[in-house]
Amino acid sequence: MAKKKEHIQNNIRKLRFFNDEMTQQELADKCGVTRQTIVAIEKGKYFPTLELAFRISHVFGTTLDEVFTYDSTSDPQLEKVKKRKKK
Amino acid sequence: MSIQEKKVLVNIFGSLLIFGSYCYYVFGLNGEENLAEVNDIKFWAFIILSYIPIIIVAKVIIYIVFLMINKAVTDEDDPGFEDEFDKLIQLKAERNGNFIFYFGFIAGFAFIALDYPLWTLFACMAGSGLISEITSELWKFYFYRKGI
Repeated sequence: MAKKKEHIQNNIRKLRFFNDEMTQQELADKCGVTRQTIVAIEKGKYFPTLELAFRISHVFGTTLDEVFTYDSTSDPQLEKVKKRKKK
Repeated sequence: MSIQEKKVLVNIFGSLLIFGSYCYYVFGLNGEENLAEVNDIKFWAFIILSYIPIIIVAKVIIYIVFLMINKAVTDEDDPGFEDEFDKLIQLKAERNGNFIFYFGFIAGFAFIALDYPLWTLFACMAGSGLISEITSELWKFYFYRKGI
């Protein structure tokens, strides 16, 4: 519980930098969430819902996969599924 | 520390203060007349029903005072709404806190079944209610710090 999940990464910090050094508060206001939520997403402590993920990418004018990247090789859940299938 | 984390700490402090003050008022200041009635179910009904409006009003006052002090010290505004992260944390924290209340509730009935006096049931329920609330707030603090 509450472990940093490394199979999903995000580029929010970088995208904020390239969007006139947008602050976390500005991004939060544009997405309709609190700054604390943006902080948690940026640090990889919270994965947003699909709706919020789309809203973030919409604010940056990019696609979802430019904001969030997924690495299936380090997904612990996927490993469990594979082991279950083998049985 | 974020405003959400500060709110959690204020809630814990408020709950302890209100519960402690109410207990002192009922069993300390008016202890002589009230302690004689602790095995009367009507007495407990009155105590619990009067505690509900008191805790609501007191928590609102504490919350307003906290927001005023916080604004004056840090110039930070309350977001005024809960987003998906807050709601998920609240859900998980309350689920964890509720287990303690269930345990207290069952323990209270177990005391009654073992022929303990009636007041043990209500003492168990009140105590577990307070511990459950504090546990729930501590879980919120943990989730805000460590993430979900």
